[in-house]
Amino acid sequence: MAETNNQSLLSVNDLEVSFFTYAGEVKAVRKISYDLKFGEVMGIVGESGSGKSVSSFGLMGIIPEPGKIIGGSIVFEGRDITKMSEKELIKIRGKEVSMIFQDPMTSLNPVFTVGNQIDESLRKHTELNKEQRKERIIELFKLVGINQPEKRIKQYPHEFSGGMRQRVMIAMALACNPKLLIADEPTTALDVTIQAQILELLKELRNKINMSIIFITHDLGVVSEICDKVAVMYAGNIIERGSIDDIFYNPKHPYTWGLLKSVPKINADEHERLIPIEGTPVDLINPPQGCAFAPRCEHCMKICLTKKPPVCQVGENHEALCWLSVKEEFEKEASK
Amino acid sequence: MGTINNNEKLIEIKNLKKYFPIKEGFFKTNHVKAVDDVSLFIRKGETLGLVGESGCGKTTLGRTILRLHEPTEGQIFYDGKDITHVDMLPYRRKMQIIFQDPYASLDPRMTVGDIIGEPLDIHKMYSSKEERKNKIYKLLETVGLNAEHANRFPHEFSGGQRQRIGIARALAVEPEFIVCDEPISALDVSIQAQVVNMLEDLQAERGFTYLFIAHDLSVVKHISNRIGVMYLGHLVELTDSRELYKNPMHPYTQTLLSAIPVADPEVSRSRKRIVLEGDIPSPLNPPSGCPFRTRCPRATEICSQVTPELKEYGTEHFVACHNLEV
Ligand SMILES: Nc1ncnc2c1ncn2[C@@H]1O[C@H](COP(=O)(O)OP(=O)(O)OP(=O)(O)O)[C@@H](O)[C@H]1O
Ligand SMILES: Nc1ncnc2c1ncn2[C@@H]1O[C@H](COP(=O)(O)OP(=O)(O)O)[C@@H](O)[C@H]1O
Ligand code: SF4
Ligand code: SF4
Ligand SMILES: [Mg+2]
Ligand SMILES: [Mg+2]
Repeated sequence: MAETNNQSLLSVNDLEVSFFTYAGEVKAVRKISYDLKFGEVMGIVGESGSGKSVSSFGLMGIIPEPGKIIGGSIVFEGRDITKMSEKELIKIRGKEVSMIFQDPMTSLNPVFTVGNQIDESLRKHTELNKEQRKERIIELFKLVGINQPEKRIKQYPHEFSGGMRQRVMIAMALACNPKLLIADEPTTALDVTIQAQILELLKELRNKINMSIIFITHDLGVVSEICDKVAVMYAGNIIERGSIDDIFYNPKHPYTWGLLKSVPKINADEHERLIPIEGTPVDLINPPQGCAFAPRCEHCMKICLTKKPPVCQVGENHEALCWLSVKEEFEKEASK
Repeated sequence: MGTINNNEKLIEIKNLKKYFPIKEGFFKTNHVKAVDDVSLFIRKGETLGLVGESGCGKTTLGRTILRLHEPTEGQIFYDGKDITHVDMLPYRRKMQIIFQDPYASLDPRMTVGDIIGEPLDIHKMYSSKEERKNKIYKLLETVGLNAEHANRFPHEFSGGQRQRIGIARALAVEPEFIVCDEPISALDVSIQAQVVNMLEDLQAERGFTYLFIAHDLSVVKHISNRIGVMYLGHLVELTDSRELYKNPMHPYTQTLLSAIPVADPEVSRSRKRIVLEGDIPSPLNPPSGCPFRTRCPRATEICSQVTPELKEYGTEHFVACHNLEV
């Protein structure tokens, strides 16, 4: 699906990230590829530990110790982020690419006013003078729906509620008009009515400033609300990706099938028993030799246990990492 | 969803209040009105769901019913008997709780066997060591674990498995009523389904009565016979779970339903959202009159003066609002 379209903002190719722990090498991200156009919103879903956050930390050049990018490239506007020096990265981080973290308290400094913290980023990345910066901060607060911005910028993070803090984080992330916003579970800790406010806000911003967004979540409902396309991760792989319609109405991977069947439908009339995905997640130090999902897959075949499935084109811009998608071909091959 | 064989009430609370004192300065004490004048009942074998935003009082209500908190005012009945002021020991066995956080709720220094065995010890539910051991093994099997797990420690288990340990512990004393306080919120979706199914199977086998607390309305609707909606310590709507979804009457319930993300792109594209302005007020300083009035699109003069009472509209559809569209 790697389009060499000049509209493409980001292209991730065969990215591999490992953590070198004393228990062994944790293969957190195992050769993932995707691309993102200007103004596009991509969701990343998958169970905890599947590699959603780590794969996105790479885009900011902030893989935590003892992690390393061990292969692949991240091409952002024609330049490979994995080859950049720390000095070059600083120019991109917070300016071209920004990130909203799940827990706003960990990324806001409690001893500075929120105004101060946004000011810092503006000072670093723009030529604006003090007066202009203040104007910009007030403008940002209005943009994210914080009332009485003149008063609020002088307050400290603990004086804001959870939803308001998340808005401050978004304002901070938007300060320098980034081209790409990475939102790592930005609403998971929030209540649904507050979550709805934040989702509306992000949609509006995408339309207003044509920002691209990578939205990490485990909530399929949120994906359906805000994304254009989705990547489903399992054990460090993207096991399926496509438009939201592909994934919700025409999924091709058994894990995606399982994911969709395991959540209750709020509009169901009758009580339908849930169908869980049996078994437990994979050990990433010793991932299975063939398909990582094989131990939990109802459709597992002999080949799945020994050979890693290839990336199969199952539709236009729709890929699945599963032997079922090329079953006929390999059966023909085998019978020869 | 539970099967109700007769109309007997297992739990009933009347005008229950739980206020927590908060010291403000040297002389002044304020109160958090965590649960404020809530009345409801739960039938034998029924699952009553409880939803509402964080801090609205769900946990406090559940814990006060079990008298893990002493009620500030009001009455609690268990199987027709007023237990508001009685010695709880004989009731502890019958009324159990499963906690939200499978990580924090298990003592990390105890083996799984001892965690499950502890309530057996407290209530002296065996006559020999052998019987104790067998009971523990049986419980582990019931929740989909096995005997070998008894000698391990909680940190060796995944979140879903730890939640199973918590459930086994609650089942140990053969309870009748179980408060499930967000039992699946900390779990991945695929694991959530395993735990939900297990709770349903156990109920079908043993006729448990559940109070099921969660903020995920789709799960609550799936598992509950009836659902109560809480806002700032108040019960604002209570009815059959399908009725609540099809015909929400309270403005807050309507907002809550419209805010839930639906995993269906067609629905997401076509439906209209009610997006609320502002945040939930502090329970230290709740608004006068109706608790929802600061965010309610339908609020009028009277809403700031009089707290609306829960009234019945149709059959068993209770709503507390002055300005219903009926
Ligand atoms: N022991 C306590 N002392 C003081 N205030 C308390 C205490 N326990 C709860 N509260 C307050 O009571 C209110 C209701 O709390 P509760 O824990 O019942 O909310 P909840 O609906 O369960 O929220 P969540 O979904 O976040 O768990 C909150 O404002 C909370 O801060
Ligand atoms: N600092 C670290 N040290 C060692 N392993 C890590 C570290 N951070 C993440 N991992 C591992 O990388 C994998 C993917 O993690 P992560 O991307 O955080 O998952 P997700 O965001 O999908 O929950 C997991 O197996 C996790 O244990
Ligand atoms: S490759 Fe085989 S085991 Fe893996 S998901 Fe497809 S059918 Fe299942
Ligand atoms: S009583 Fe008034 S403020 Fe409260 S929900 Fe009804 S209309 Fe809204
Ligand atoms: Mg994560
Ligand atoms: Mg709670």
